[in-house]
Amino acid sequence: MSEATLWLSHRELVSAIVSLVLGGDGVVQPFFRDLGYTLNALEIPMVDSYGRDFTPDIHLLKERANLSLLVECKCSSDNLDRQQLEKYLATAGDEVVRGGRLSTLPDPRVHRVDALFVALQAAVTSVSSLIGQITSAGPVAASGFGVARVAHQLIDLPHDELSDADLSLSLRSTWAVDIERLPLERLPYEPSSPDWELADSITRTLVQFFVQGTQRFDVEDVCRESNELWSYLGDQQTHIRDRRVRPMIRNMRRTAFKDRLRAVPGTTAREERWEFKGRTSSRADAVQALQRRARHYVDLLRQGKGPRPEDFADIDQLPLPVHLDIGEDE
Amino acid sequence: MDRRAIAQGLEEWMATGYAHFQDTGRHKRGRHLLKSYLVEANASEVAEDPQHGVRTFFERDEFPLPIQVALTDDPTFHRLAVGSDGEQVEFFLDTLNPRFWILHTIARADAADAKVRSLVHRSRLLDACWLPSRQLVDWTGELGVQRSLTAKFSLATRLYQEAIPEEEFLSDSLLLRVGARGSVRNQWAEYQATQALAPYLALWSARVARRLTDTEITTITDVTAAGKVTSRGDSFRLHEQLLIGLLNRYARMIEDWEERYRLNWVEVGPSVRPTGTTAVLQFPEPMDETRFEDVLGLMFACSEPFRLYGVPVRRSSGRYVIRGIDLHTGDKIDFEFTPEFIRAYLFPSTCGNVLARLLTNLQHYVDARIELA
Repeated sequence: MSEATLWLSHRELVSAIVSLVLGGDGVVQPFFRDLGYTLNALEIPMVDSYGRDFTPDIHLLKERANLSLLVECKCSSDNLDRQQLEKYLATAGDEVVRGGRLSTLPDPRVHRVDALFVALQAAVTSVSSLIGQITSAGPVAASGFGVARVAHQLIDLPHDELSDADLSLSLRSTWAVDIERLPLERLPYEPSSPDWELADSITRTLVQFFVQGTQRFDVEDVCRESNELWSYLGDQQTHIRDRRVRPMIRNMRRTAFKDRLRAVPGTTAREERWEFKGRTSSRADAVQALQRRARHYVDLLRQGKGPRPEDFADIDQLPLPVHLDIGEDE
Repeated sequence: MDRRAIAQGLEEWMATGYAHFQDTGRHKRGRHLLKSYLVEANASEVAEDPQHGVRTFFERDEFPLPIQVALTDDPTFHRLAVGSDGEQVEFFLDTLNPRFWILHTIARADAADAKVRSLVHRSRLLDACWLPSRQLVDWTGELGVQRSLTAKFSLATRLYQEAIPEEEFLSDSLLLRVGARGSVRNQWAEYQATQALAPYLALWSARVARRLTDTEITTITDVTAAGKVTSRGDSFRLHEQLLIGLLNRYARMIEDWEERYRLNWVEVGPSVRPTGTTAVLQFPEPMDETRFEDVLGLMFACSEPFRLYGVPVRRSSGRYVIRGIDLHTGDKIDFEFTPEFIRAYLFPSTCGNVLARLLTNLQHYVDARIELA
């Protein structure tokens, strides 16, 4: 068992919990599914009993118990939002039946809802403390709640006021799970993903266009192709497209893909469309050249450096490792 | 000319050649063996209109060779002349299954191999059918008596290449043929149970004997892991039966994998729910770091045999994440790579054939015991 602190991104932690519901690939024991839970939706917009909107990371349903479990994943104690946790605890069955579009329940009027805050070690104390402050201030609308701690090889339940006795009993006896062997990559990048992760997806998309013979493309093409959930990002689309993806492609055109990509003159001053300079191809040597550039670009971002044209002047001569080392020090 | 006439012609070709061989002990000059190639095609136009769709399909720009398509009286059978004058090879193309095709030819093996290899390698729309070792052993065992089984490991041969020059051997290369007068299956199983041999016993080809019920009519057929089927004997019907058996099993496997392993999203009101399961390729034992890095380098070199693009990014505790592209089809495919297994994330449009190619090549270059969990 590793002694080091487990570090996962929010995207990876949500993916890990989803895999404990879906199971299925021979490595995963689907603890939630074994307890009767099914996955209803991810990032589902809801309102609490006071009409305040919030978006639970995961909505699980245990239909035979007429019970929902709203899951919020926390990776660090930074930027914890008390009001966000309050909304989970202020949400009762009616709101979840409406928000979750639950239409097959035997009696939706008595639907129960538990809130489960799933936290990495770095966030457990802060989350538990905030929950304590909220519950001591007055009664909660949720049927029950708990804080689950995720470590390298286990998940347990340091704070347990769940109404689902089966889940409570099961988690209190701890789940033996090798977290880093769960499928952690089911979800595409999200607004909070670091630049190097975004760059990894975008360079892959550009190489895919190159291989498939897509000579010209615009920023929307890149967004849609690099993120399968693009159409569900709603209000966040504009920010990601205009503040992150477009500037990154512009930067790539001047750095990593300087000799490969150029802007297509458009109707507006800002860059909207690009095209490959030469013929697109799936030939090994052509793709290997792009791979070297993509690798170096992602590596620079990983090191916290903004890629500059001079970083790629001798790209074909640079000795590059087989892989990039992204340690646990993020 | 229709399906019946083509079958009759191929039957006569086989019977005449085989009679000469039985009389003289030699193959008649210019009388080449019947060869059939199982090919996976991404051709929606053929599914919609088999008769005219084949011509439209081969008229696309990306085919590297001149291809003349001639209709027959059967809408799912075409004659193809592939290549330029003087080097043309003729094939009969069976598209009864619009996705999994059969190319028959009686041309010289090296010429036919080269043409099919060129079509498969240089077009994103066609791929070989890749038979992983366990499936190749099981299926050929179900379809006939296995007279010999040939294992090939860490030999960088070209697709359909049968002769292996000694200079191609690397330090961990293995080429082993196991034969028997009856079935070789038990002997193969014993070899597989041998610790020293098991990692290298990736099945490259199986020689299968079949006899037509209540007759003396027989064929001996070689089936390779890349889906090439070569028969000697006097019955096209036996050859065809074996082909259909393989093709249907392969089609079911790929379609089953696609149903299970394609990861998709279902709308739930304004939100989504993920569906599908990731595919885990399990190593028989954890790899040490050096081996692990060698395999990563081999897999994502953008070249044969894996033809995968990706930038392996090490996360923590020996877990690598790779946002990959299958360079054969241009499809996206993501991976998590650990010393114990590779996990593949297929996208909704990723072709299941990618998994078959990946598994087969992992068995032939990394460890023959790797299986889909």
